[in-house]
Amino acid sequence: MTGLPALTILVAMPLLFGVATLLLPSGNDRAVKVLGIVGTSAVFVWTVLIMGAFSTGAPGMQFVEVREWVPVIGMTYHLGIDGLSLPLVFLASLLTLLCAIYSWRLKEQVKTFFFLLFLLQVGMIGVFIALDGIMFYVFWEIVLVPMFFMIGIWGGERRRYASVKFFIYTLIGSVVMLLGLMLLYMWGPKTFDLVEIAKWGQAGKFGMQQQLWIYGCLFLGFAVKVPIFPFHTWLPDAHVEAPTVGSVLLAGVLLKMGGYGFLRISLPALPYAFKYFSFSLGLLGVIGIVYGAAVALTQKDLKKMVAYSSVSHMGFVVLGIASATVAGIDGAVMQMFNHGIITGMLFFLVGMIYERYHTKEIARLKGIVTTIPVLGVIVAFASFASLGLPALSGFVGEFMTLFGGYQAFGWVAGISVIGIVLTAAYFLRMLQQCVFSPPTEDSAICEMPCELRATEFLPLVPLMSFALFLGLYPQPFLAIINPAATALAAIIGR
Amino acid sequence: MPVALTAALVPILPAAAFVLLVVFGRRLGERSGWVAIGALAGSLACAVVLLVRALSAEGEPVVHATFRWATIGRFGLDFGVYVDGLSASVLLMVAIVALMVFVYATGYMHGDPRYPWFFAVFSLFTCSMFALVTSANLLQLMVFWEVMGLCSYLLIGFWFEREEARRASIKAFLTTRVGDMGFLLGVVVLLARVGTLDIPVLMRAGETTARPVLLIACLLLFCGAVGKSAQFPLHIWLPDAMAGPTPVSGLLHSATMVAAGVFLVARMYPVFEVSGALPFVAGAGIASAVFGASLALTETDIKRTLAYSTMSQLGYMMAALGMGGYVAAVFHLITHGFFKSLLFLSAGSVIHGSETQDVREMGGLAKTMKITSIVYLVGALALAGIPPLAGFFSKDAILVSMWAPDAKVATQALGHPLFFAALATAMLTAFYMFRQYFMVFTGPEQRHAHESPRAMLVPMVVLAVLTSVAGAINLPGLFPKLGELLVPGEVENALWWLMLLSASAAATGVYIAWEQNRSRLEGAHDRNGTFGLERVYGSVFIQPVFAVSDFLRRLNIDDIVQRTVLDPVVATSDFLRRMDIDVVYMAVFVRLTSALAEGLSRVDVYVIDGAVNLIGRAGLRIAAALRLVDIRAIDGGVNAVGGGTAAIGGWLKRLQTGVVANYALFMLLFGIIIFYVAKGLAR
Repeated sequence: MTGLPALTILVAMPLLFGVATLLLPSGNDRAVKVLGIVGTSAVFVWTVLIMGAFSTGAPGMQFVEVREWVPVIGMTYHLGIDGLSLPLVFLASLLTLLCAIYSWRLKEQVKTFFFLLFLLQVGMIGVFIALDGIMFYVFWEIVLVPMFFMIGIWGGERRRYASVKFFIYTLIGSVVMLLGLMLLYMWGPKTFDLVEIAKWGQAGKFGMQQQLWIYGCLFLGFAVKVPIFPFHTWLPDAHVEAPTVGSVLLAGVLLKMGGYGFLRISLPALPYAFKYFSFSLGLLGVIGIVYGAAVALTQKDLKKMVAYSSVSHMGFVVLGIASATVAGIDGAVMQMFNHGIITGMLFFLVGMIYERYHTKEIARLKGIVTTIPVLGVIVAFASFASLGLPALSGFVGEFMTLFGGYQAFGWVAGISVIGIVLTAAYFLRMLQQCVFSPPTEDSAICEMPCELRATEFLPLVPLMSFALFLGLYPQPFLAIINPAATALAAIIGR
Repeated sequence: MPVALTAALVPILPAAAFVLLVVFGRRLGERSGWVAIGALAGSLACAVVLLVRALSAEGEPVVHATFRWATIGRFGLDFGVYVDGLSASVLLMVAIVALMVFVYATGYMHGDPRYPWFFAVFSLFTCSMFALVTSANLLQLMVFWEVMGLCSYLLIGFWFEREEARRASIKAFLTTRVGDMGFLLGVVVLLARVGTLDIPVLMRAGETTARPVLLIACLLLFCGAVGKSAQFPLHIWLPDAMAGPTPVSGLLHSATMVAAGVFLVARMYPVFEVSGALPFVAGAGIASAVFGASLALTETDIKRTLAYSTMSQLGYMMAALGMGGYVAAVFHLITHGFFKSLLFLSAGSVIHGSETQDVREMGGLAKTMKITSIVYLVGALALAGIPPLAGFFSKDAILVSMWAPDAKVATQALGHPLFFAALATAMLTAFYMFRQYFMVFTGPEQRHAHESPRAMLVPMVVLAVLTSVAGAINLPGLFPKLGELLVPGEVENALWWLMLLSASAAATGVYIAWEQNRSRLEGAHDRNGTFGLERVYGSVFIQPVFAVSDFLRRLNIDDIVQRTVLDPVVATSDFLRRMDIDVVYMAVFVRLTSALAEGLSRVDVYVIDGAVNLIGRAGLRIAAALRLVDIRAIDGGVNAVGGGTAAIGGWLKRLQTGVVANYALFMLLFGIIIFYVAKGLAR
């Protein structure tokens, strides 16, 4: 791979495949789907190759591509990848591939769908490899568009309401974030190169007031995306109405962009402000953990419950980031990856359940394990992974963020264990009701061939494997993150 | 074979059986039981090897081998195996008991449609106990601790078609998880303050770490032990756990699960000693011992009685640990493992044969179930503490530790009240066990029963033999082998008068039960009265205790926990949902949006037509909708945005014709506007 612009290829591939999708003659859905799977597989393979060539243990950016682009506005073409972004890029490639496989039986507007999927992938991967503020922002916005249409076109009954809500929320967030990026340029080194800006920030050249202002602007953009309590109310609606694939990518990848933003931009460029707000941010994380879990406990809709569980789980990410300790940052990245894997799995499963029973109402779902044993067992597996059972990956992230949180904030971080207990409570309640209790007369009936199809089962296999493997042996994964996390923690001095 | 491999094989073999049975279980059918047993026999052999090594190791660990599991900054977490005298002896007990229970289960579970699944989970259950005992790292111990919790959830809820099984499994998982959160925090504190979770290093933490820190950490760890070992007040899951198949109870109540809590405290004992947490351990222990025995007095379900006795006996162990009776506690843990599994398996045999769990409906079973009645008697005698059975020696060791507590951790002023409470509890134990024994096996036959199949009887007999002789592993003064293994060089004295005292307390209990049984049979018209207050025959001592027990039962602690803990949580959660921040938000949010849209439309930007259309139209619609809110919107401001969607609808249609490009353009241009805004600000 030496000599090739690996990252440019990585982000260009989905774009080209997307265009190719549009060029296919309309009416041939099958060809579109084949192209979709081939294309996402190619991107995935390329990501794996990059991962293989990535030298673990080396701090700093790798595969860097940097050249001037639009000097007038200080924009550079700067791509790079490090221990923070690699796991997230991998996550984005993997989940997109699995979504493409899962969409094999899609019937409506197949061409548009796969085009949007590729476009989404361009944005998702782009955000994680961009090292220029403008490029970061453009990719960030690119993601917004296909997701908006995915919810709006393939969504549920209230899809329009949900998509507009999603749009307005995140748009306001990203507009303010853009303001923050602009201020970084104006008050900073007159370039959008994030590496230069970080150097500027660490040299202490941003004034304290300036830092606080910029941090505030960036915070709003990132906080809406994560989402951090109290900016989370768009999430449940968006999820409930989004199609399965939309939910998977929304929870699996899009939410991580917010957490990534904190680590890539706010922390290195604005160390003073980051420290200044560290406790408040950690507190919001803890509140999110408990609050999300508590609200999830009373949800009557399966998908909404999983959506609120995301709020709770992302709270751990926030806690870890806020702590700015090595353990916290390691844990936050780990937790982001795990959440993508596990919640992605849960949303796939909810989709399969909905397709079979035509309801997501917890009270009407019963006896899944008796009717469809494989599905029931996997739902149970995913639930236990999500509730942080040790030996599955969710626990590792939770433990590390909690540990980091304790190092930074002491007992305040300990409050979050209430959320862990509540999480166990709502998942077990759901399992007892939907999976294990015997079907009754008024419970929903499976209205199609119940057995899982290959295109449904296949996406679950890698997700389950990751949840198990990373829970049993996280070291190889942590070794990737660790150098980057150590460098970041050193900036704050923790 | 290298000794590290031997130690690793102990948990790995049943883990392999688990994987095998999950994959091929359906094809293997009822042969899967023997796969699990084969794996377990291998573990047993390895455990024997380890114990032999430990006996000649003179206090040094037999093996300590690790690999790097995770690096977190400057903290390294090394997982692996660590075997010393404590783990070797507990390991052997667990392996023996588990093997017997597995053999028994092949008979008990015969014909169950989920037979392979049962043995798969059962193997994992045992595997996690093995792995927990051999853990080299506290976090590793916690991982398997939780896996065991998962298995108990699956096993208690094995017959998930039954409502009570589902309820009981959730209750067990959640209650223990509440305690586990303490464990988790304790681990976090230890890692942050001591800097390592390696068990051998942690054991010397007292040399480097401040005592208050260790006290907090130990109390937190102890929360986990309270949950797992069903100590007051987290015992509420234990009686309900009976909903699982009997072999599950047989294992869960003796060698795994509940034993884990005691093992945790024993494992971390040097830290507990220096931290000053031991008095708390003693307090919780003795409270559970007395409380459990009291609850057992008025229980009529044969298995629930045994469940409460488990709580009580584990309380003994905790109390002993709290008084410095480390060896005594581990000794009792081992003997209890044997006789409690024996009792549960025999109770299962009784239930299997008589098809009821209520002792009031049993009677005279000794005639039809001869072997069961004999082994049950052995178990009951051991639990009651009658010499020369194993329970007598270990219980006696515990009483000694209370009478003459370790001066390092407790005073006699604390020990003596505990001693008398424990002695009284011993009498109660003998009483309720023998009242139960007499009611079940003597008197007139009430229903037709049959003896159980051989697969069930053989393990019961083996356990009965072990129960009879296991006391010999630690005869005070004569053959203190276990003591030498656990704490080399420390000699424990035998107190002969105390032996006599505890034996006679137990005998008194048995006698009262006998007397009461006789009067019950004579006044056969009121068979149920024995569990009431009025008809209690016997000493003045028993009567008030009965009153307390009955009061406790009526008090219904479950209900209290339900009302004080669970209900408020649900209520709060519900409140949060109803409050629906959405409504509050959208009111603010919608106004912001429309203001933004208006502001934008004032900006002179004809170029970005399409773009502004979107926000502008949405804004207009929203503004219009806001006026209509009172009329048509039910959930307030939320729906207002809905009005804007009509505009979006048009957009969606345009998507087909390729207007996406417009959209992207909008994004960029919008960015440029912000750029100028920022520029303005920056000046």
